[in-house]
Amino acid sequence: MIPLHTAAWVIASVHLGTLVRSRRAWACAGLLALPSLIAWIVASSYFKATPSGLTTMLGWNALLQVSVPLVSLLMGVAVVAEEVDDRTITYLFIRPIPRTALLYGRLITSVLWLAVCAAVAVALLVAAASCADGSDAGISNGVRVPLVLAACSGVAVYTVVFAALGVWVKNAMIVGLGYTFAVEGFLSQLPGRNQLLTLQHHLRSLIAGTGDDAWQRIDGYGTTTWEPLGSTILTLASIVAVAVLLGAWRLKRRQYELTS
Amino acid sequence: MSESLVQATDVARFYGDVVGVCDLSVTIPRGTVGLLGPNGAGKSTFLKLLVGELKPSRGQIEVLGETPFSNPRLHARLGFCPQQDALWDELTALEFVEFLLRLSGYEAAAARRMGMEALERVQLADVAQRRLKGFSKGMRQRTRIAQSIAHRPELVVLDEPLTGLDPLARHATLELFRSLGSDGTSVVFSTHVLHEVEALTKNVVLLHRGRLLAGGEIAGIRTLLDRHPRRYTIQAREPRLLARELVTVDGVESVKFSGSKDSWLLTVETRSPDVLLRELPGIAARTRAGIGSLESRDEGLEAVFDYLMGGTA
Amino acid sequence: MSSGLKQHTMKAEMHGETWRPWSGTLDGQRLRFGPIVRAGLRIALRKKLPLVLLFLPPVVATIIFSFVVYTVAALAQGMVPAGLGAAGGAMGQALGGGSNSLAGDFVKQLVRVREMIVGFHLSTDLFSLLLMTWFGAGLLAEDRRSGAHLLYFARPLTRMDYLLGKFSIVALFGVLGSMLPGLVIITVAVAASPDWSFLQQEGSVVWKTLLFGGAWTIVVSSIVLAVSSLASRRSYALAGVFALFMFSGAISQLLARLLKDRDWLALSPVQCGIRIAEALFDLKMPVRDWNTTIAWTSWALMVAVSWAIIVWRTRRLEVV
Repeated sequence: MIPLHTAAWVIASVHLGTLVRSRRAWACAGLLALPSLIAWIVASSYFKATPSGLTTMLGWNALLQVSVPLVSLLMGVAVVAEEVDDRTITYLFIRPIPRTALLYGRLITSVLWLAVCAAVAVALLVAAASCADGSDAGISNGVRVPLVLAACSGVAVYTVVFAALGVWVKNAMIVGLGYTFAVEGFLSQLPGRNQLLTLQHHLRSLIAGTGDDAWQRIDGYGTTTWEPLGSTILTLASIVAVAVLLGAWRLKRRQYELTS
Repeated sequence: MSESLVQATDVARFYGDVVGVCDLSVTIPRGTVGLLGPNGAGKSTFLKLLVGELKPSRGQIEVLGETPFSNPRLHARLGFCPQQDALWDELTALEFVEFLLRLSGYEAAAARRMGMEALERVQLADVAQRRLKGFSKGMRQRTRIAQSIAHRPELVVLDEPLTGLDPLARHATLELFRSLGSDGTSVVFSTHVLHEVEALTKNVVLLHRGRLLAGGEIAGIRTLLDRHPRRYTIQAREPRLLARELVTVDGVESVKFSGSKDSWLLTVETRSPDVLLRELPGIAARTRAGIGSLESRDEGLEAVFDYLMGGTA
Repeated sequence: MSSGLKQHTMKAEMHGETWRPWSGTLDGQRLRFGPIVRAGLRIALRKKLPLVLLFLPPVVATIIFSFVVYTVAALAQGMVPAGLGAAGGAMGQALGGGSNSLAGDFVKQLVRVREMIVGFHLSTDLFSLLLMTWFGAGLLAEDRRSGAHLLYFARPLTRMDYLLGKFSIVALFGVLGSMLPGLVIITVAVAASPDWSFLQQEGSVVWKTLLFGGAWTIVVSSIVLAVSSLASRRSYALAGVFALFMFSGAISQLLARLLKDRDWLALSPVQCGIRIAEALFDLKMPVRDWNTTIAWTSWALMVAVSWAIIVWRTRRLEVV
């Protein structure tokens, strides 16, 4: 039997090659870069926009809240489900490798791709927002670094969760859409500590824990109770670990009835 | 090394309310074995159970002494060519085979070399660097066969491997299976093409409606079908004289005439073919009927298949 | 052995080209896309759970709204609808008084009913969006993926027949989700008003409902089909449509807020719909007041771009 890490590495290296040639991967990169396009439009048209204000607002509302979950859904669900839909999973399951190598290998590549695209997207956003004429102290590291951290962590966490969902559930895309835009949206509007049940809240807590005062301008920022940084990191890491373990457990036992 | 390749005991597999296979108990020996049956007989289901893609709903199945489902150790000894036309279209043929060889534990250089060898065996060496997206159906099929044999497994399982192949490619593929057999590799394959199975092996397993209809050597199965008399076709110059004598032979059940005035044929059905064949020369000499030819198509797989299917219709 | 069969000789031919467009005269049958629509509906109606989940909310909402509309109209006439009992009597008393004041109140109530109908429209449009997306996202994507388009074009169908057929399937669900509930509510309002006075006073709401419902259906159907033609499978098309509506909504609101110009809301089909509905049904919403012409133009552009994408993506669909 081939060791898990070797098999995962082989799968990851081949998958990376096919991923960078796929339309889906570039569409995800485009979706992540969309907030920077908006930033450029606003910076070019609105003379009162400030660079840091633009960065924080678009980073918070557009990048983190819409782009990150959406691209993670598109990539995460496809980690296992794409092989099942394409009926190529047969070849991988009839090799002397642990079944979980499929999950780990493809997950690594997907997360890596999205993390790079997210980091580039933040860089583009900062560059576009910097064109704004409005005067302020500029885009500090207290804005850049938390945003990169939150965006990259966001794509990692969401992708892993949706990948596990793809292993468990048949219509994972629909369930994922429902969770992201209905459940999380609904829970975030509820009073009290219901927001703790959403991934978005923890990602925003990352920003709150590492960011500077520039983020205070965001609506609702000052009135929300954010989680301490250590607790946030632990929560996100636990979610990733649990999702991966659950996905791996299910994949080892699941039978796929593929039609001809 | 055990003689038994596959040992299935009361195996059943259901897809909801639909029966894939049911009450299947069969022992498949080493060597080349053909799996036959009409559409929906359960051939693909049985092969998927063999390679561990599916688990039985009931019963047990062992391949090379091990349970196949989620068993990487066994998968190192197996090769599988699935029926579905599914490939990673963005890869070249060589990349595809090489990738799967690396997952079988070979280093990159060895995987590349073995991949080329496998593609040569299926006559795809000259298109090894072409993307699978641009392959025809037959080429895709041969690529799938290549990946199933590239790592030199002990057992190769092929689900309808001849589908989509032109006559030349079919012939070449059958030669490939023969050479695999002579190398000591066991081959289990499913097909509808009866004469090609006959050309390759004497051992068959017949499935129908998810159940085992018959298994073993074709001739042996035929012998067991005692409810169907053997049929012989005799062309003779004086068929009536011959027929008058033939009906008196022990075991002969019927004699029928067919053909035209210039070329009559007699079809004789008998439950005792050895008696008929012993008596026939004497009858021919006595009657001077002028026997031109004597034929029996009853020993073949097609006849066995027809009899068995007809009996279960 | 002679078989006794006559041997027919086939004339030997060779063909240089491997594909020829179909040539000939089509039968004068109209609505050649009819079978596509029927087959599409049959397939869509096969799975009961999505039907129940997607149709149940608008059905329930229609029933509830119908009752509310009936009650308001009835109370305005001083009648107590059956089942309201003492509460209804008290409301009737409150509305009572001189005949002039009753008439004045009644007119106001009819206006209220109209506003309720418009509000109902805007909320059921969300469900009609879900319906059209669910049943329409896979229409072109899955055809291409499974190779079914080859079967379609082995028949004497033109590309326009094929696209019209697919469009009609999506549009039908749009009509069922947006136009039909509105018409049901209007019918209740008409029936509940004395001598059909609702029709006399607020009759324009009928053609406005048809116009708005039709336009909304056309816009959303076109967008759904365009995304389906771009996607390689249904699940991506579903995600793509949701992404498009989510993004356009978020971006349009962000830009409108940042640039302090509500015309940017025209980037979102949903925001355009809200603006057009408000203008069409004479609802005064100064908070959301922006140029209606831009909203209509935006919708027209969305339809044009969508169909340009659809035509481009299906341009070689008949060719293997």
